Amino acid sequence: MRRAVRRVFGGRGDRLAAIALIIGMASGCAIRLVSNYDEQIDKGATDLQKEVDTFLTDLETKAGTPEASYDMAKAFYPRYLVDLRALQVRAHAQPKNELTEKQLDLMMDSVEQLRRQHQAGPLAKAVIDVNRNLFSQAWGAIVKLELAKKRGER
Amino acid sequence: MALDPSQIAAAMLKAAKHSLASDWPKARAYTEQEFKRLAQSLADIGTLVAAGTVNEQQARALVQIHKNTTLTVMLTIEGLGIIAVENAINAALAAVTTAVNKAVGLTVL
Repeated sequence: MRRAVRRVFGGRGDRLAAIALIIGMASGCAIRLVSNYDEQIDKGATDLQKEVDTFLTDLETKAGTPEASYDMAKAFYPRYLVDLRALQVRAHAQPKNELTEKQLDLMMDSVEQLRRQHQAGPLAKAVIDVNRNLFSQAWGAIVKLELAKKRGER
Repeated sequence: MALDPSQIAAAMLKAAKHSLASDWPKARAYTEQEFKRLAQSLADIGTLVAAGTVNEQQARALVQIHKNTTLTVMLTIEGLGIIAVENAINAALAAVTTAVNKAVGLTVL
């Protein structure tokens, strides 16, 4: 073995061989600092963005009428949270996925804050519009991060 | 041909810089765009509060959503940065593979 190493690496063979071996081992596999792309999280996030947008747009068209009241629309919130929790479970199952997990935790709170706004009184169109923009931006950020995890496809 | 650590280091640095040069502008463009949107939303919330369009409870909840959205965007920016670093490290490791194979005249890695 030593003779082979000296033949390949020359006089300083042993030390360089050790360096090359370590580098070689390190070079054998790519590092991963963030989880891999998950198509289900990508699709789930896109679907949930669409769902809350549909809900808010529907409220906007009914704004000022009893149909837009909290009591008439409150079934949306627990249903939405069930879907959101399913996405959280999926995100939690992936290693090195803490960023996405935190984003989904924040989304859970935002949904609760929306529910509180709604319960506190009728939502004017301008208020619904701001909420819709914020939810779209948040879901957009979550999808953006998920897509960035597609290594080799960027 | 003997392995030259300084040549390997130079190849790694060149690969990493090239990778980062590609990733950082995209992250920066996204950051600028999203901060503009957040600033506009905050201004809109201010207008709603000043006009009395929201009551106090609604205002608090809306501000909290804005804060959550800001944090969500920041987490994405953080993620883009980490992925950029990951790409740079992997590019550097790939450069090592190339350098070692070239130096020994064989595909050993």
